[in-house]
This record gives sequence, structure tokens and C-alpha cells, in this order.
Amino acid sequence: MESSVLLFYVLAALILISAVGVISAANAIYSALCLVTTMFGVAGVFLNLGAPFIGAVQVIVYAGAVVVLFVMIVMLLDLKKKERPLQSRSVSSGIKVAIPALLVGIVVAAAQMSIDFATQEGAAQSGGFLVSTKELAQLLLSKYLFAFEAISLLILVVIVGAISLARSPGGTHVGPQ
Amino acid sequence: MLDLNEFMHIGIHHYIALSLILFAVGMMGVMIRTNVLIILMSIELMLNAVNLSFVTFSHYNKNFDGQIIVFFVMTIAAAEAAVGLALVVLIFKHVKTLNVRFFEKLRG
Repeated sequence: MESSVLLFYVLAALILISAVGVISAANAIYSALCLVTTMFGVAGVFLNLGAPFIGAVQVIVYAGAVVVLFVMIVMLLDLKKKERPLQSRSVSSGIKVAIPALLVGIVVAAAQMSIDFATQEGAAQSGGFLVSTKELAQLLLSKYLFAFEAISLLILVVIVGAISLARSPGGTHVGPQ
Repeated sequence: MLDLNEFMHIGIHHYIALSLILFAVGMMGVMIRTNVLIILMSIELMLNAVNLSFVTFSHYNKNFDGQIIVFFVMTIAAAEAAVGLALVVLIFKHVKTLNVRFFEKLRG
């Protein structure tokens, strides 16, 4: 067995086990820790697919920033009551689990039938496809320049929005009026 | 029918299947959990699954554009998490719980 095949299965197992951990942990802090493991697994798959820049951004943005934000909110809210998923053993719980599973089956079958096997062979023969950060940056700042500027505007709006939400009465900022 | 050779050579189907299962786990999380923080985490899982399929298609089609889209999706996901968590803090101050079943009282 090739090492890349083994690497794929190890990463897939890591991702799926920790993803199930996210949705089944009773305590929100364990969910956040499982989310970090999932993000690292996905970053490993990105590296395996020849996208080192996206893998690094995944670790920095998700594992570094987003999950820290989640952990901080969990600490801030001081949750005492634990709650487990699927407390009522009713028919609706079964349906809620069955619908996504059915979706996976249908779409995997559709992909198996529709995706051309030739693209797969071509990529295997050329022996890997590595995108350098330089090429990515040139594309980002030429073809996608408008989207890049629009995203920066979005981030400005989000900063203002998050601060104004957190400062409003009833938010975390309780001070003299 | 079940060929062992198919498991030994990793192709585009394997990555798509992984991405789909991850998406389905996130979808289940949104439906079966009532804690609003864990619902937000499940949304992050679904966004990651979509990113995974974008990078897979980018790799197998030898096209960079998919990776640029992933970059934008990550930015928007971080922005969404920031606003979502600010709203969670605000709602928690009003309702004193994170259970979405009690959010029906939100009025004014």
C-alpha cells in the first residue's frame, strides 16, 4: 500500500471521528476541541491535495481564530447544564439521522456514475499538482480583484456590526448609562 | 461488485465521499442538537466539507480558481462566526439559555 493511500485513510478517520465528536459531545467545550481536530485533519487533506497555502490558511483561520472565538464564548457564558443529543427516542430523531445518510448515498452514487474517470487518470499520471503561493496571489489580485475588495468591505461591515451588537444594552458591555 | 482495487487507489470519488459524509454529519448536527453554539459549529463543519470538495475539483481539473473560492469561503465563514457569536451572547443575556427551543420568545 502506498503511503499516500494510508495517509488518506488515516486523515479521513480522524476527520470523521472528530466530526461525530463535535455533534455528540454533551459539553460544548469538548465539541470545540473536537472541532480543532477536524480542522487539522481537513488541513492535512488540503496538503495531500497539493494546496499548501490553503492548508496553512485553514490552520491559521479556523484552528487559530474561529475555534478560539468559540472557546472564549463557551467560557464567557458559564454553562452549567449539560444536554445530550437525541434525548427523545422518537420517530423524528430517526428521520433526522436518516435524511443526511440518504443524501450521502444518493450523491455518492450520482458521483460514481457521472464523473469521468479520464480526469482521474490524467491527474494520476502527471504525478501531483502543486499550486504555488505566487501563482495563487497573481490570480487573486488580477482576475478576482473585485471580489477581494468586496470581501475587505464585508469584513469592515462585520467588525462594525459585531462591536455594535456587543455594546448594545443587554450585551456584554454593562456600564453606567 | 466490491473491488478491492478501488480501495487501494485513491481517486476523486474518495475525496468526494469524504466531503459528503462530513457535510452530512454537519447537517445532522444542525437537526439533532438544540444548543445554539453547537449548531454554529455544525455550520462550520458543513462549510469545511464544501471547501474540501472545491479543493478536490481544483486538484483534479488542474485549475487554481477553486482554491481562490475556498479562500473567500473561509473569510466569509470567519465573518459569519463573529456575527453569530455576538448574537449568541446577546440572546443569552435575554433568555439565559442556549437552547433554541426557548428562542421563540424573542419579540422586540
